[in-house]
Amino acid sequence: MKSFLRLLKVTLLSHFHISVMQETYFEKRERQWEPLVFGLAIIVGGGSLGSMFFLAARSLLNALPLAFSDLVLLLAIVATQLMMLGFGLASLISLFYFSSDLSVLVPLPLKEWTILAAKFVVAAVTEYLLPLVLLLPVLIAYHRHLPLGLCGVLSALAVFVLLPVIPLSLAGIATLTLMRGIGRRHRDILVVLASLVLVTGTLALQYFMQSLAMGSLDIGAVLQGRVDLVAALGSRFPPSVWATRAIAAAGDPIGLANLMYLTLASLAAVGAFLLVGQQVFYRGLVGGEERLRQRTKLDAKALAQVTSASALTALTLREIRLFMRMPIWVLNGFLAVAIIPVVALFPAFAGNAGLDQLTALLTANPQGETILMLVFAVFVAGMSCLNTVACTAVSREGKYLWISKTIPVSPVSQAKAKLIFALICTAATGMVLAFFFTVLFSPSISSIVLAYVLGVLASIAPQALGLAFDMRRPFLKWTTPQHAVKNNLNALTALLVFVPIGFLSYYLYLWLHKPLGTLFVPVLLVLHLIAASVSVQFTLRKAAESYDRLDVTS
Amino acid sequence: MLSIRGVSKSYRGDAVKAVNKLDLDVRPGEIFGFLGPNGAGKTTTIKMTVGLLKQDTGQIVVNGHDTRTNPLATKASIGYVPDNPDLYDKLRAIEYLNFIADVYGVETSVRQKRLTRLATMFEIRDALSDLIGSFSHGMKQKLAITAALIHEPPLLILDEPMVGLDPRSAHLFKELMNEHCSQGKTVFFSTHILDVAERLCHRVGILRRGSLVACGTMEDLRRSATAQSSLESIFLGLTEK
Repeated sequence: MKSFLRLLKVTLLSHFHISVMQETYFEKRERQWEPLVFGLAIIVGGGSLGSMFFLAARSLLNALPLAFSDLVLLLAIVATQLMMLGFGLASLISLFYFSSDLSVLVPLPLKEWTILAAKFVVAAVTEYLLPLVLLLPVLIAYHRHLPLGLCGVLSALAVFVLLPVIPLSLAGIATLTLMRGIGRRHRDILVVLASLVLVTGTLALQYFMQSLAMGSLDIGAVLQGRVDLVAALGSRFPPSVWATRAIAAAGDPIGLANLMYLTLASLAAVGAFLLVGQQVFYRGLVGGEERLRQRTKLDAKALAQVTSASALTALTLREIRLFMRMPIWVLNGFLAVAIIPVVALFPAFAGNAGLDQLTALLTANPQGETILMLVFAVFVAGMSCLNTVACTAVSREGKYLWISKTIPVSPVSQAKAKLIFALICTAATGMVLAFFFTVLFSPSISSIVLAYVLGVLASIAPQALGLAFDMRRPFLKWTTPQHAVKNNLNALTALLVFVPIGFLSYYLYLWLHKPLGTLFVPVLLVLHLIAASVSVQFTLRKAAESYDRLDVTS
Repeated sequence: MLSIRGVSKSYRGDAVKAVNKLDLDVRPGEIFGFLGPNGAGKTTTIKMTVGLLKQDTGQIVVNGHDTRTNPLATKASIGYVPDNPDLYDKLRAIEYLNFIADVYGVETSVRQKRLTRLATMFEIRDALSDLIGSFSHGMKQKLAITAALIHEPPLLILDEPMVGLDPRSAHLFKELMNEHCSQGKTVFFSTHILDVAERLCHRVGILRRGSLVACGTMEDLRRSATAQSSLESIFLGLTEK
């Protein structure tokens, strides 16, 4: 037990970068704005979501008969546990497949369960954010509707603590079983598979929502369907029912019995996870690392094909190869580009009359074509700012930055290569979006081309400034490629620049579209061209100074 | 070839003095061994020379170019192998070598010849089309050395180059260093393997707590250290004070 507690302490310090934060914020007194921004983001984001759930729960509780109040609680618990299952799976896959510390921990004289339990607790700590945002507001609304009393509050607290255990244990068993089939060496495949499952799930949900929106079901049938869904989920996942009854009937023998069921089931689940882990964890881990190296011989002919290119071409090629060969970066950058247009196309395939009405409205409006062009440009620029290609370009170099710092190529050329790659991505994104827009709205070729150019131009300033910020303050000490973009606040900088530019363009439209008429889009295009040119010049001018400031100490 | 004048470097303000007013000259055509215990400031000095760190004070001149005022010309004169060869895992070895040859402006025919020779010598030719991520530590080290030599730099700087090399590769590498110097070029390397330094280097410098405590040929060092004959005993005598 002692070794487990020691390992847990080290794992928590390492996983949440507590030691690094202590050193950075308190000892070196660097980047002290980060915790403020992060805290603000959590308060604003979590607070908004929490308020939304609180208001939704309160409306439901007020609208439903008193006998159905428990249903709202059950719905919140089922939703929380299902989300915990999904997020828990992602979290444990990351901890077991991508953790670099396993190669250090496995040779230590530690039992399998010690490592597994430490990783489990780390995942559970992260999971508690979900019930804080999702369940706590519902519990508060429920308490205001039907006061819980001291027993109820204590029961709710116990349920809150126990809630992640069963979903995480199931996710843990699934992950360990996966490790037996797909070794850590092939974790990239796993990321692709998991993302495909996510896309399919999103599309299936979207299709279901579209079917509902078609109005083929009347309200009564939908409500009946929802009630059945909850009942089905409740019966298929009894812990949710036990948790609900433990809170709703707290103080009664029924409530106490249900709390006991939940506690025993949680203990049994974590026991099963550790038992399975004890059997398969090391075998899966070791098996996944074994490899038979097969080298492809490079013959003289292939060597003769080695040709030279300019430094800028070489740097751009390096950017493309390193990004495109990292599935997690590609998926993080371009999954939205793949999903959003497909989701947007569903109304067309689901036969939604709303789309026809929208198209008719746009055709009837003299500004329809202009609006469509602007929406398309916003999509192209917005998607490009979301893809993180430019604003994490230096951060992604991580431990390889020493190469860029020692080669005899100016920082200006290095920044140019990063911007060229970002532009290539924007151009490709624009083409995909242009296809979908053409299918959906059949605009004229000249309109779509002009909108395409406008979108690409509008994306340059945010991306260039995002790159300038990343050159100045890169996040280099990442341990996994996922970490490089997901835990990197710089990933948001392009978007943060894009939002005010987007609003400014919108207000320009409101002020100028009447006096300028069809000239509005070309004028906007020139304005974005100027903004792009100024931003690129600024970024390139700052490149040398920023690169010079970057000390490579490790 | 390499001139270091009054160079100092501190970390965390002035709390940790890594290099303290260092003066050092490395001549063309010589192999210079840079010795010292862990934390003596060897890697910091090397990193300042290749442009990975900025010195607080002093001047570093490589092949006539000041590292501060003319960093690109300095870098073009250097081939660098770090202590830990972190090379792009997601590039194929041939792509990495081609990239390095491109940024150093090595002509196609020249790079083909050098690449073939070095890759064959280090026995990594069959692995050139594989991703670097699949390489062992030793193979990465060989690839890093190949990349550092592909533009035949006037100054080759290596931080602990022997770590991870098998005996045959280490032997070949030592021969390569000699060959490099016979062409009038310079090798500057740090090492903990005193035997290698003693046999290979024309001159050695011993660093202790950021300052140079001894510098010269083996004969010079022996003369200054009475009754101490091997480099090991001289080293221990100078660094244990």
